[in-house]
Amino acid sequence: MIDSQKCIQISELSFRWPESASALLNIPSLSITQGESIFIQGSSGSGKSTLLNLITGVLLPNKGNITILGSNLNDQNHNDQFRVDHFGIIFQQFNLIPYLNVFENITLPLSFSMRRKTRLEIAHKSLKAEATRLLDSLSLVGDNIQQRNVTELSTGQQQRVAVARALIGSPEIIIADEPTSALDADAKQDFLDLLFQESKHSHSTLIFVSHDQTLSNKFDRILSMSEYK
Amino acid sequence: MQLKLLSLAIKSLRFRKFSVGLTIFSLAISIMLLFGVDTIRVQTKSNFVNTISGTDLIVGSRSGSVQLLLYTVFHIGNATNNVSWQSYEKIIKHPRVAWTIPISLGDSHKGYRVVGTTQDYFTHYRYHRNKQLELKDGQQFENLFEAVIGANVAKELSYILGDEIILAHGMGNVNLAQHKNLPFSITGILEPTASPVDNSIFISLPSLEAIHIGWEFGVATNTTLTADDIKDDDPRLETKSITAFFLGLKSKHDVFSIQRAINDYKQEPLLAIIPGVALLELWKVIGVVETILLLIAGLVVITGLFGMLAIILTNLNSRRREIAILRSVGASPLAILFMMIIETELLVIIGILIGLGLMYSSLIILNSVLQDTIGLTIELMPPSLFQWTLLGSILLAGFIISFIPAFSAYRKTLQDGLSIRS
Repeated sequence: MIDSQKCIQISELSFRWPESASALLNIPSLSITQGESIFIQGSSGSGKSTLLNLITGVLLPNKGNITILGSNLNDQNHNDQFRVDHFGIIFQQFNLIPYLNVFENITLPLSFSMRRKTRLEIAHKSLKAEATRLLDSLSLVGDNIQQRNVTELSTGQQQRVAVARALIGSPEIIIADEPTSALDADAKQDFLDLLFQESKHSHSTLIFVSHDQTLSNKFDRILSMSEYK
Repeated sequence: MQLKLLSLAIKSLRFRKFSVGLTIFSLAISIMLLFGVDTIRVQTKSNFVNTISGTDLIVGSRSGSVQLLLYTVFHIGNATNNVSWQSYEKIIKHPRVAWTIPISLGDSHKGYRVVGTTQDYFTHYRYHRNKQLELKDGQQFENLFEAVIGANVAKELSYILGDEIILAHGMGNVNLAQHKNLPFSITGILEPTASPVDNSIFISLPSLEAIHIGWEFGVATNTTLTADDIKDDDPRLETKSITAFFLGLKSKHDVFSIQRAINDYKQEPLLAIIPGVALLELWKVIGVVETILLLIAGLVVITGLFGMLAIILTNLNSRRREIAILRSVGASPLAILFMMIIETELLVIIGILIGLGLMYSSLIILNSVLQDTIGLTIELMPPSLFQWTLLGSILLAGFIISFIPAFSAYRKTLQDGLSIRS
């Protein structure tokens, strides 16, 4: 991966919900380089989630262009495959499928993405070994941790499993949507450190969305949703 | 990836085992009911149509065919006229006739019909597809004043071998003139047959003549006669007429020509019927009840399917999070749609399998009970063509129904995108 490569490029973007009169988002220009870490700050209702849905191709803009890794996101059917191939996504909380165990949750993206699976195979890593490596580096250890039911884990542990799932197969972009809001202050910082360390390790672009500005000091760049009104 | 969706669907179903289990169970019960009713319905019909089998023709004095069937086979109603012994002897001498069973009706015992006949009854009478009458206890009647009773008669009246019974003149329970002077002794008790045989008492034709000595005008003129007064070769024991007779042919091909010959018999107005045809005619009247039962069972299955739909739709709302997560890892809305269809169809398939399992196992249990008590056997058979059609329709209905939650999930998927709503 060449670090100077353009990862995300947005130009002349405008989005509004079909039933609403005014645009929710207006982004004249935004450019993110591969490997950058971006903090997007905004209060609830400011359009953070909408922006993430646009970047990941779930929503299509009314006007303008979004180019991710050189591809234009204008075909929704194509976008689902593109998303799993290039994005790792972490939600606020309850990130995991309750009926799958830790290992199955972590490797879930690989069954939808040949690209990420192949990437592991080229590196000669077995699924099991990679899951173990990720869990170790995220300090998630314990007897038979991979076979455990995810509902038995604490919220902090669950969030780290979600990070492992986002990172497996090294997608180019990690999106984290308020991933720390359910954690206490100490855990927040630890979690953030781990997330940074691991996305650096896989040279991924990290896009972190939060209303909590105190977390922003480590990031390369800070964007505010208020600029995009 | 289809395999991945299937395995996700299975794991998701397993995770919600309680509500899923209840859904499957109610569906299984309704399917058991439907197929149980249908199996019993088909077999009851086949047993009914085979109430009497092996007999090619039933011959009696001329009346309606259903009437002749009712009084000879089901012992319901009475004959208007008898068949003379001369006519009977003439017909049985026909070279194409293999065997006959004469029957003489008219007397009863505590509401149970007395059938005067010969030992040929035990040799040639067949029911339910070629089953022969078997004695549970004792032996066939041989001498005068001996009786063989059906299983029900023995059970209801608690009779055992050697008990003495008194026959009454005519049918009914009250105020009948009784043949008190000439009691009968029970020499045999038949196995249950689940047919009118169970409610019959069999005696020989000479015995029947014997108790009617002195009754030539319908009332008793000589009630002091005892068994000792009658010898086996007494000319008064000669049979002058019978009510009807069952007839077996050497070749089935002759049924219609012999039937026509008997119906055209000049000396006496006779009627010959083919029992299977007459039984089918009768079934058309009483079989309606079974069709209604089947219809009700069908409605229960439809209710089961709607119950399943309701539970799936209720669960759907709490699964929006799960769906958003699946989308974030690359599941397309179409994949979510497929997963929902697979889940619903799996429920239906498991429901059908359990339902059929329940039906067959309860039939096995029911069978042993039925066999012991009323002698009815329900054969366990693989699903009939009709039942395969039913199975196919249920699967299809499940498939169609599955689109309702699937489209609902699909729409929510498009609405929610990656944002989690709870």
